[in-house]
Amino acid sequence: MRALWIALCVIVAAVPEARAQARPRSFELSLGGLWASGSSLGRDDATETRNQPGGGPFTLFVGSSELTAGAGVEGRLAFYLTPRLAIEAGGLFARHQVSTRLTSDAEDIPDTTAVEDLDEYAIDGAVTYHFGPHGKIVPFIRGGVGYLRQLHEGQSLVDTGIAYHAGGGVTYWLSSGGQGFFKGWGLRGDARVLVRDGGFSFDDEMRTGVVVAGALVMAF
Amino acid sequence: MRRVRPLVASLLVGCVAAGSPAPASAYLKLGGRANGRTVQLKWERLPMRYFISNTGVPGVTPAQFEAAVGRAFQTWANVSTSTFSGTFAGFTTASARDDDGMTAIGFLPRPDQDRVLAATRILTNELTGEIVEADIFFNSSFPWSVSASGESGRFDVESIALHEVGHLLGLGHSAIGETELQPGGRRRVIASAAVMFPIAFTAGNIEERTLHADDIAGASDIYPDGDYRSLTGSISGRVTENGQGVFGAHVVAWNQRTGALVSGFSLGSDGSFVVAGLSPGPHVLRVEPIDDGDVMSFFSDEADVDIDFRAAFHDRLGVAPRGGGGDRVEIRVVPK
Repeated sequence: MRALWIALCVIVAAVPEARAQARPRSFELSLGGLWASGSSLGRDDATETRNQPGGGPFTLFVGSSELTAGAGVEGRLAFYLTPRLAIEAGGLFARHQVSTRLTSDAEDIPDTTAVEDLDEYAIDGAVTYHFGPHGKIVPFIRGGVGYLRQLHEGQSLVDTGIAYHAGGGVTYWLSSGGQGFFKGWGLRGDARVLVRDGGFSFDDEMRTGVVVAGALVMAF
Repeated sequence: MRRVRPLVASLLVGCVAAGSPAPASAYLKLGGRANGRTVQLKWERLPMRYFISNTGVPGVTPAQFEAAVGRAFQTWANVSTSTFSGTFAGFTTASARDDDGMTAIGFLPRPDQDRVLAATRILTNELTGEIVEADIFFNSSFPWSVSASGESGRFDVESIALHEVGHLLGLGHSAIGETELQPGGRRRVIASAAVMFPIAFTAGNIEERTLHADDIAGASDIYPDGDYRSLTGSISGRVTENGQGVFGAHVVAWNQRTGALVSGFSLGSDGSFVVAGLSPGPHVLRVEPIDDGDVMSFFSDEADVDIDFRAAFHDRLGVAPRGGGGDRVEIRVVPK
């Protein structure tokens, strides 16, 4: 993450606004793919009561779980309030797995990993600030909050929560300055920190992860 | 006219030798066949009334016995997701073995049953499965204690009563426990996670005065309170070996969030099983043969029970939805 922020700052410094061409934009639509990091869900023992007072619990086996990294898709729609400031609405889908490594079985069952698919959907609202909004390369920072919905395997159980995100990226305009309804198009890359409050977990703690996304952007 | 038929519900201690009737469609409930269908055994009128035999044993007066049994009933009644309750109706001279329509609990000398600490005998309405009487005898051939902190070398009345009242309300045995074989063929419990495990802890131990998740799920399944079924879920599926169903496999579901271990058995010839009363969420599924106790402690006919396979974890997590059942799973096991 530190390297990312340093890179972002370098890009910001390297894009003088004076180079920019006029390109009034009202809306941006972006569609692309993403990668979302996983997180640990903790380690616990499955225990029984020992037939020996004071002997502590008897461990039947040990489970160590994680939410694996996942890939998905994302779409975002931005509305420019000023040339630098935009408000956005976005939606994403990513498929993760809940993975539990089972070890130390009391009856010597070989170590096993048990998994289930977890489909994650999120919609969010965000505010984006663009640096050098009229350049060919436009860095930006963005922060927002959204609603998280996770469907377990079989789609018979849903966990919900709130997702906060903050990060930044760069839009590289391949074509811009159009005079009609379509103003141009480009490529965008961004990275953000995602904090999940709620959603699926084995405890009530918030989970922090990273999302890296790339998208095709169209300006209108 | 009510027709009744005696059923031996359970025996408890050491290597138990006599069995319960075959569990019904669910994992640890007592049931039977009536008019070609499976009926679940349960009390229809609650609180059910019980009497205490006015016979004491060395170290335990009838009043102390009644108080210890009363605490066991109260522990079951305290299960917030179950409506079961019992009420003390008085002392009686009746035996805890008479089929007289009166539920009696008391001591009886049974030196011939040297591995049986206590047993519950249930009378049911054959047509409906309603329990009409359930006598519990405590074998006075063993040393007993009602000490609050337990007494070395003496079995704890409250702990054993908690197990037997579990049978009285309609539960069979649970297999969540580990044992080791002792010289002479007896089994010693290493640990368990169910009061309804068929083998008692060592004399002097009072750890089994507390119900576990498996016991609570069982009682709540039979006597659910208003929200129980809508707040819990189940996992069902098959246990198979080389494509064939395995009968009598013990399936344990573990919820990492709650730590709860809740179990069931494969009860169909196709290896089908249901584990109910689960907190919503993903569960680890572990299957093992019934090799930590006498098969007859769980099933009335051991001939059909397959214990010749290796314990295994399922490689998928089973998801229990809220208020229902999820996709069926197939757990494959291999021969020993």
